[in-house]
Amino acid sequence: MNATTLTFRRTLSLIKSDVVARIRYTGGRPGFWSGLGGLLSPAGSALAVWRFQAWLNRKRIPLLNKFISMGNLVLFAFEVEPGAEIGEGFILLNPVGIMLHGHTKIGRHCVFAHQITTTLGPRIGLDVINDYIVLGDHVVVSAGVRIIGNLTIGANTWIGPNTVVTESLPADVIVLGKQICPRAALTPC
Amino acid sequence: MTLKTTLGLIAADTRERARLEDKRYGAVSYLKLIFNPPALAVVIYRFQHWLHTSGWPRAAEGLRGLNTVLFSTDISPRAVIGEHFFLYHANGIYIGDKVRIGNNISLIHHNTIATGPRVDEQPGDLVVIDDNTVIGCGVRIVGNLTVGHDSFIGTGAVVTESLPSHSFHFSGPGEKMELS
Repeated sequence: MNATTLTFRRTLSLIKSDVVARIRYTGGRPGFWSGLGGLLSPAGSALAVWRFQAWLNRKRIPLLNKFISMGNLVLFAFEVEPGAEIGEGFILLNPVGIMLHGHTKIGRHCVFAHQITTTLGPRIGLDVINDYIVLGDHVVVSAGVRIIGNLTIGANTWIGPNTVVTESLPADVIVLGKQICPRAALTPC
Repeated sequence: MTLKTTLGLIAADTRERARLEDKRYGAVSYLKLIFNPPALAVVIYRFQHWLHTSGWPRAAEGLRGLNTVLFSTDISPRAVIGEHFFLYHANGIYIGDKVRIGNNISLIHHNTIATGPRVDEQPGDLVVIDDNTVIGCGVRIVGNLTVGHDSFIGTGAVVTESLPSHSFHFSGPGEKMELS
């Protein structure tokens, strides 16, 4: 996703793609009522409000974003900075405890569980201008994962529960704690 | 699941909570539910499950949203939970759709019990947690698995494979499980 082309129409289509992807993931059929239910669920509404915030951030509208952020934090414990970039079809299973830094770039069709942190620091060698956390397409991040530092995570990677990631990861792997193995093995080796 | 059995389960939960907190069980126990977030979260789940099984799934999802917003406790109405379910702190609890939980289970806080998200997830996956299991804070139980009865899962442990009964699981993510 290119942030320079983030128009309001694009924002609406992103929200729609999120809702549809989440309904498909949880085994439902996308339709008007299931879409409304998905949008009004905590995860759906938190993400939709965040999409609107990202648009506001793009338009450089001051102050309003702070209030909306506060609402999202108080209601859902969902704290994603509006500067972050999230690709289309983002499946957020639960909004509780999601904390993403503004320098996070997430690819398309990623799946996030709850209590996930991506942050640049605190760490030694922190560079708040040039450091970025980049996640590829189709990355599945399980509950309680902490991603810290200036790193890149390849496409189709599964990051297991409670894993702390401090280095870049290749594509098509399964990571669980200190173990890393190719995704073809399916279960952690 | 009728309203009567739901109320019976709530009464059992309340009696168990009074017993564990070393207080007398009576009408005051129910009054104290209002000031006790974890107890209230479980009561909301019981009504959620009743609404879901009696043909009101959207109302159940609404209550689930309320539970998430108020207590950060997201329990799916499809999850089946036995009697004497005890939450110590209602914060960051997530219990997914395909979960069956037995009697006398305690959760502390920041727990996940779900079949996913993971890469080899199948539609028929199921998490079963047998009776009398204590689950510590920060524990993630993710996968298609069964945790045996009378187990203890320690703080921060990650369970991705089945555990036998009477197990004492204390390992971090990806470490080899050991029985003692």
